[in-house]
Amino acid sequence: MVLNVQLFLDTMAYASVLGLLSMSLTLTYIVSRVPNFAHATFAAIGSYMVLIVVWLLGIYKTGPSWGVYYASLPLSFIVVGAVALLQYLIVLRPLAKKGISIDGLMIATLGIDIILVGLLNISADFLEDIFQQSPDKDLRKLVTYPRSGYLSSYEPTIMGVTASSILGPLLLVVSTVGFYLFLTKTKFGTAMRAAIENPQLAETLGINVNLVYSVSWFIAGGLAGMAGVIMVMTTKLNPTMGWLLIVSVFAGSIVGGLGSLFWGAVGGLLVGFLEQFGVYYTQIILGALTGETVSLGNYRQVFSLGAIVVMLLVAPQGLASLNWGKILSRLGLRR
Amino acid sequence: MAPILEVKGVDAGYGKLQILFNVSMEVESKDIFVIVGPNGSGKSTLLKTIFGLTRIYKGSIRFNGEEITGKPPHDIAKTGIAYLPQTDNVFAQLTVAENLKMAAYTLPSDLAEERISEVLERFPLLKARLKDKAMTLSGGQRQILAMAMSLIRKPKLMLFDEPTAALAPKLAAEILDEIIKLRDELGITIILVEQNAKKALQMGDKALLLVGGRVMYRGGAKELLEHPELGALYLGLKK
Ligand SMILES: Nc1ncnc2c1ncn2[C@@H]1O[C@H](COP(=O)(O)OP(=O)(O)OP(=O)(O)O)[C@@H](O)[C@H]1O
Ligand SMILES: [Mg+2]
Repeated sequence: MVLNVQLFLDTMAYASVLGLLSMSLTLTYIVSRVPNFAHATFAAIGSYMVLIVVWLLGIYKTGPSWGVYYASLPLSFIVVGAVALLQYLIVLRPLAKKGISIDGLMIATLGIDIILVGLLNISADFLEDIFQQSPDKDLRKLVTYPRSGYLSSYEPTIMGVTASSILGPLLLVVSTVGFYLFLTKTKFGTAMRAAIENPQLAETLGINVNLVYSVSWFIAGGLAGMAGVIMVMTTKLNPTMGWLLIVSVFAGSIVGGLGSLFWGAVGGLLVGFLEQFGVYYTQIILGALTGETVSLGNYRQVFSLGAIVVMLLVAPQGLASLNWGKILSRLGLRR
Repeated sequence: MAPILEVKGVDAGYGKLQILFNVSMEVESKDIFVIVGPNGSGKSTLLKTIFGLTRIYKGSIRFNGEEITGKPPHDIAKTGIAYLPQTDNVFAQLTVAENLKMAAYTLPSDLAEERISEVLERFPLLKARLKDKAMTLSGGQRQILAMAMSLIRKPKLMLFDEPTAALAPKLAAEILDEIIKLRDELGITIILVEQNAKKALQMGDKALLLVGGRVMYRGGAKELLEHPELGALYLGLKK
């Protein structure tokens, strides 16, 4: 089958998650100039917040309910936003003030990542006892070692379509547009752009640059946390899932050029589609050649790494740097 | 009358790198105070130090009788000092209107609008460019925008770091005229770092010559211009 509708819907969900993550990673990058290797684990924390909500609302005893997602989205935004803010305030800012190089800061984010994964395992340990009483096999499996599985039984449908395929793109569009309006229409958003472009000048004008940067980290963490909630429905969960996912997230940001939030979102989306469809069609082709069933799901990062390589070779400044007016007119789409 | 700005025995620099050594100066209200010196002598560093952008190891800085040593720049901005950096003194990616809005950041919004229209009256060329990004402005227009931005908070003291650098002579003269007008019409005290020593000393009241981070001369501006040796030695002025 050439066009697989369910694959397309699944991809919409996964690619939106990557779009959100690549956009928010780009935000932390343009603010602090540090590649944050803990960013995908931010999303994993968002995912585990869903399990916390399942526990807090007591739903594990009865079964799936939409309330899980209503409660998880704002809660993940706040909790993961706070985690990102603390990372900036407690670790990155003091180190940067001491004159530690970007490389040093980058290693620090790896350290934070390991700590966060540890905290996720502790949370899972805690939930393990509680979820033993649950009739839901998936839920028990998620917190019982080796803690890997799907929470798909909790995923609702909207008119027969899996919720994540609708909620994911919706969340991506709403956050991109919302953030764009915030940056261009509000005074604080304008100050954010000003402080990112020229912190010293912003400071001389009385803008509290540190506050602006703190808010940026909070928002970036919050967006990653919400991406984690969507991820629960689409991706295999595990406390260390960020370690593989971060490759795809960086690929999205790099494809976007690491300088623009909008192109970061686009880059994430593209990489998501590339991975899913790349895996799918390679499986079909290899299957036809070998006559056996081929499963390449675990190799999806080959496609995102490939995207990084191609992008750096063709347009190192990313999609944002391309002259789109010219490209569109060449393609005959614009005069 | 007490000086509006008093710098006393200041040692300052970047991190562990000391640039200024025992610098003292007194600036009288409504004076144009000129700082001159060879490249790399620490002129920009001195302005940054007044504005809280460097590390001060020793000494004190008082503005209007208030101790401002060691205060962060955004607090110093609120005391009535404006600083126009040598480079990057506007937000290139923001529109002219947004730049002005950012300059009025600390003001309540009705006052901000009032002040913005005031500076637009003063510099009408900006009015036509409000929606354009600052990076599309010419060098002279950028200096005007930077000046307009620092005027918005009605500062009592303005620190100019080479406002005419990289400008054509005619434009440079216009900018310096604007600076004189700020003093004459608005009563703003000016500290001016200038590459063109002759021009600056002619318009200045007092002057300070900085060499290797140390004060070599402090006194009348005209006197420095006419000094038998200093000008020729450090400023490329003919005897
Ligand atoms: N941010 C900085 N960090 C470290 N050293 C600096 C920094 N800025 C300037 N310096 C050093 O301080 C010294 C004085 O520089 P400064 O810019 O104050 O000189 P200047 O008199 O303004 O020179 P110019 O006429 O070229 O503008 C120079 O040796 C310079 O290399
Ligand atoms: Mg200088």
